[in-house]
Amino acid sequence: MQWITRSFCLCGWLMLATTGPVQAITIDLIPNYQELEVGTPLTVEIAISELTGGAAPSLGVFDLDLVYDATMLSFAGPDGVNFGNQLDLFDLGSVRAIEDSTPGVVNLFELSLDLADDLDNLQLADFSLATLTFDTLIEGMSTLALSINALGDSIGAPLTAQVNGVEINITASTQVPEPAPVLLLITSLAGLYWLRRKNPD
Amino acid sequence: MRAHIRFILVTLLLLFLLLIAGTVSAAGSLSGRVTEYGSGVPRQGIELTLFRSEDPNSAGDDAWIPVHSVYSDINGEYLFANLEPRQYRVHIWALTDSSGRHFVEADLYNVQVFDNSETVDMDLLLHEAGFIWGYVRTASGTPIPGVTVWAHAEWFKEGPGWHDATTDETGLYRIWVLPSPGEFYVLVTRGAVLNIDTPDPTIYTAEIAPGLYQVTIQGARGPDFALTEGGCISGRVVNEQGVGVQDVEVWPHTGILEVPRVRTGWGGYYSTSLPVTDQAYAFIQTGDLDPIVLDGIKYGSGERFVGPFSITPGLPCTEAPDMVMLPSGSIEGVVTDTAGIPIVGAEIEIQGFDADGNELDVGELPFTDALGQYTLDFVPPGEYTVRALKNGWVMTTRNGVVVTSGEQTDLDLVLRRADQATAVSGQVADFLSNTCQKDSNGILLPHYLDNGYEIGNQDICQNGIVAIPSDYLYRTQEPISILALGEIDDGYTGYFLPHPTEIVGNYHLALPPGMVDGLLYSEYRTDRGEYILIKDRLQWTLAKGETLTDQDFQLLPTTDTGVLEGVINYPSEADFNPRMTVIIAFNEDHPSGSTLGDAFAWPTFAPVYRIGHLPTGRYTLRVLSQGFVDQTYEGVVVTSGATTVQDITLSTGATLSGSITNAVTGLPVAGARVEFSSNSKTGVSDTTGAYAVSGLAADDYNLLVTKPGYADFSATVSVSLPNTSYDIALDPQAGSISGQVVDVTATAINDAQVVAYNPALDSYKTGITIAGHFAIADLPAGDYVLGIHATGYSTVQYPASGTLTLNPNQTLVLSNPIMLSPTPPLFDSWSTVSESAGVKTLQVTFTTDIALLAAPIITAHGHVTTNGCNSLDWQTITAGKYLATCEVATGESLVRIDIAESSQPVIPGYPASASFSFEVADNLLSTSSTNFFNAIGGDTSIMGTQDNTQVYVPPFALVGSDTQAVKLTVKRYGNPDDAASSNSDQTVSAVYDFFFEDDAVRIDTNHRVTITLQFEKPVDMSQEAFEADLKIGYFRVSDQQWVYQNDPDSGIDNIHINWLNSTVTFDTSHFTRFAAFVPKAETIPGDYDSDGDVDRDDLSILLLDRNKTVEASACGPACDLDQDGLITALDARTLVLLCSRPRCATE
Repeated sequence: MQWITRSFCLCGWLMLATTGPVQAITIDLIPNYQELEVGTPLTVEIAISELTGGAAPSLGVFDLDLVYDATMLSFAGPDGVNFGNQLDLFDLGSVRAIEDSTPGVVNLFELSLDLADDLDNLQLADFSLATLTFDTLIEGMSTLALSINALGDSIGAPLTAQVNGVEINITASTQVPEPAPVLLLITSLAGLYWLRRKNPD
Repeated sequence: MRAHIRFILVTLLLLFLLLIAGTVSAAGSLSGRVTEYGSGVPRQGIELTLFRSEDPNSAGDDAWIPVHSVYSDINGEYLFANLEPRQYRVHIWALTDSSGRHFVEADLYNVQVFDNSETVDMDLLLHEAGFIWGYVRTASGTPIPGVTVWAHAEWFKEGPGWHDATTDETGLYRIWVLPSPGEFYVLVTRGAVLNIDTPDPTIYTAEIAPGLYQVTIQGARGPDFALTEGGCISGRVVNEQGVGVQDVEVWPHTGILEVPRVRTGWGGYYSTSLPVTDQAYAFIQTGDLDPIVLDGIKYGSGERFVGPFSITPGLPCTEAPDMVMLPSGSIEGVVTDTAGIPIVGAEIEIQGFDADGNELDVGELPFTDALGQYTLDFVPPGEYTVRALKNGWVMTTRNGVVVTSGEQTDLDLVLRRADQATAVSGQVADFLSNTCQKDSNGILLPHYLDNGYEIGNQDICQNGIVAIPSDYLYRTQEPISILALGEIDDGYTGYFLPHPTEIVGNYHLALPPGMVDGLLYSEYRTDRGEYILIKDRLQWTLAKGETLTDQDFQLLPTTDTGVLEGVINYPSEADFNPRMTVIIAFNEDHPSGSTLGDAFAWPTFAPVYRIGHLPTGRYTLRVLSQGFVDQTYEGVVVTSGATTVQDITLSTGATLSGSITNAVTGLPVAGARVEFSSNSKTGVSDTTGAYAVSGLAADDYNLLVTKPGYADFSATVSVSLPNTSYDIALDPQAGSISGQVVDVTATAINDAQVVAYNPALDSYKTGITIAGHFAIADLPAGDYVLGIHATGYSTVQYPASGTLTLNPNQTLVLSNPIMLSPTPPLFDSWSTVSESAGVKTLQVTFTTDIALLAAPIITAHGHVTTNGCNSLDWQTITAGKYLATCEVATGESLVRIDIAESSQPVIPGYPASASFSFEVADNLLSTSSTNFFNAIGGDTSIMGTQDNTQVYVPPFALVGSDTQAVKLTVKRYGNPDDAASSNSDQTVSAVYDFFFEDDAVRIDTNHRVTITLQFEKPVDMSQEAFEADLKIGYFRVSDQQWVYQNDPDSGIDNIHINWLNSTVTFDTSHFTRFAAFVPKAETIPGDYDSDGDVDRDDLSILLLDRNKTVEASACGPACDLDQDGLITALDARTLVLLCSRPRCATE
């Protein structure tokens, strides 16, 4: 079986190599701000694009390392990670893992349990793999990069992708402090309660 | 009165029940489960049919006799009870369940049942069927209902080759077959449709739909057939008296299109429809394949045909001439080793041509029985090559075996042990990428695939290795005298999945010593006949016992080739003798004497030949044809990409004939061989002494006539057209050997078999003692060894060393009697009958010659506490059969029972004795998971363990490590005397069964276990001798082969012998290779927790090793599904696709 797969892979590679420009799968890191102040949370979306959409190849599994400068950014933890839904098309669950034991590296893993045909037929061409949240610690330029451990299609065959990292400019804080959103909310609720007690009708 | 009657009836009932109980107690049983492949769901109500082997010792696929059927229960379990000990086959027919799902048939072959034991875990898997579908219509598009469509899968092990379905009202057909596993296996189908089952009176032509259809459960689109009007053929099969022979299978042929066969009805008439063609034939082919008996006379005419005919559309049918069947002959004999000891389970092959020049095709080949005897029945008159084969032995070949109509030919064969010969192994380099058996996508096809057809323009061929003597010049003699044929492993097993540890392209040959040419060839079959191309050649000079490895062949692709073809013009059309004409193309661009680039071709259905894929260059064609003058065409040039046409014209020439007689008696001499020093023609005298050799050019010839027992005759004979008569008288040089056989008291032994073996001629004759005397006459002069065998006595070779020399015409009388010693008692069976208060009661039965063991002394010893039996008793069951009862504390690990003559032995000085040992902790037989056969020692005749085979259980014990413990009980078969032999030339002929006990198998995730066996080092046996003979293997059920450690398929390696503590250690791997007998946990790829399915738990095991190398992982290679050396997310996704349930849900 393996040699056949390899033969097909080889044939595929040869076709790609000899038939001129073709679509290339791309993974981009998209921050909420390219430039932000110390203390402002940074969210980074990992987005994949240029898949076929509605046909093979689709994405069946990914295993990625997001590399960041731990002196400037602090990973907010697994609670701050939101996976996309294109590897779990019917919201029935996929196998996901987040691992951050190595400073400066967050490993993200998602394995689809959907059928290969469903992934091939229903998955979008462009979608979000995951969104992560970081705290900004000090000012300066910070680079976020992505390393692919494995990227596989619906039948477990390897996919290749171009990865585009991103640079974040963290600046010093300059604005007057505002009440925290939660404090504002509490204040509003308390006022509302007071008004309702005063005017029970 | 009524009370009396009631008493008698009750008594009779009790006696009957006791009788049944007695019968039952001696019987074995067989059980297992039926589950669905993949899901593991047990299947209830499945009918299982039990077949027994014809021979209790061995059986081929075609030798199974139905016993009875049972149904699986709600848990999928089944049980066959009250079975006599022998081999069985369990079969499930193809079925459709209540939900409309279709399943293909399933089989377990060679399931061994023992006395008083249950053979368990004989589980069967139901594979859901896939199907091929399409439509049958007229040329104008009208559906044709009731048409039968066939799909042909050349697939021998998992199901029959032919599958069929009938079209419905819309012309739709749907053929159920086993689906391809994954996307790898490609099923080849061949469809043909005929009118014979159609209600439509129009005759439709047959069609063939060559192509490869990958079948899935969801269905594969097959071809649509647009039928046009065809014709038909009718004829008759008769005997020599013109009486019609009924029930003969007739095979119509139209070129390479093979259409279904018909049988002759009353009066021998047959009729069948055929497509419109001018190349129609009708064949009959008899032999073991289709035995015909009419009025007590056996018929076997071999392959014969009439044709070609032109088939015209519609009626009336084309009338074919009658085909005449002749009474058949038979070949019978005994296969022995060089000491004359019968060999059980040797396979007999026959190949050759009948008197009409048609090739014999025997469907079912016999094995030798418990006495080493075989019979080849329904053999057409002709001259044949007969071979005997058995694993561990060197194949022996006897050429020129003449069979005459209605006569029996006696032919005894002698096999040499493989360790007395040589072993050559190696690999065909780059086999996978160069092999010619590929489908249209370039994917390698399984070796089960037939090579008998073409797919499009691509020839289907197969590769093989043939070994022939280096001094055998096929250029002037017969094309090839095959000594050994080697199969090249193409890496397919089971359902055609290559195992990752296999080395594709391996081969192994067992050869006799001497100079041998090893030729690698490719064989092709086309509609213009067959041909063979020699691809590579190695030469070996082999010494006795030598083992050559890494003898690699190169199967290089030939890129610059052409085609050579032509028409063969016989003197008349009726002279066409397919298969008896061979065209040899010698590549003159290669060095003289080289076989590289040479090719052989045979015509089949028409007097034409074709050789494709022929390297460009200059060739000399040599044409050898039975009955015609040899022809030579020089300077035939083959150019790249072109077809060279070279027609061949044959002439009748002259015939040399006469009689061969005994010069002393004047009686005719049958079987004398006539040959010439400068011509390929040969002849053999018949029972009247007459011989005839035709196809000779008018010339002077050096004639040589040979016959064992006679002096060679040579003369120069001048042969002239058209006929030359020449009578020959041979000088007899036969002698005889006679003598006497006695026991140790000098009493004559009757019915002892005496074998006189001539090693130089590799032949022997046998005699039987009468009043202790034997005489074997008509022996050719030469050196002889006698083998003497009698029931109750040990077999003796005489002389013990060296040979007897018999001179021409000598009567050799042995001056001293040959003395035989009695054999020890034979172990029969044992069981634990009760256990109470820490004491087990064991019962042991054994048999012996009552005359030798009138009053045995039975003692017992324990192996741990040395107490042995604390109470021992014995009794006679029947004459020669004894029962010993022994009470033993469970603290004993092993108990040995010794049996000896009384203090007054029947034969003074020669007390018979034996020792039997038993493991006390567990019941060896009832807890065994049988049919996991392994062998240690040189003798592989595991099938010969019943009846006349001695059984001996030495104090063997298993030593396992804590982490890889396998609770293993070892039972040894064989003659203990063999193991004690100090002769380094002799193989240790002990054979062992390894029984894994229930739930005791611990196989790690690498599918590897380490097993250590303690053994008794045979007395006086050197380390070298034991090592040389050591073989560990298993019996592969799928193809009935014993596989040994030198074969990478065996999964056994790293054999280590520790002489200090007498242990043998070896590693075993990929237990999945044990076919039907594999533990369930090992049958499902991805089932890492061995719970019978693939689910999230298995996924979790794999993910624990994510991004680790295989070496660093706990899971090992099993988790590296893409075999890239790393366990990655890609493997995880691949595993998801293997899950037993959607989304890898757990149960």
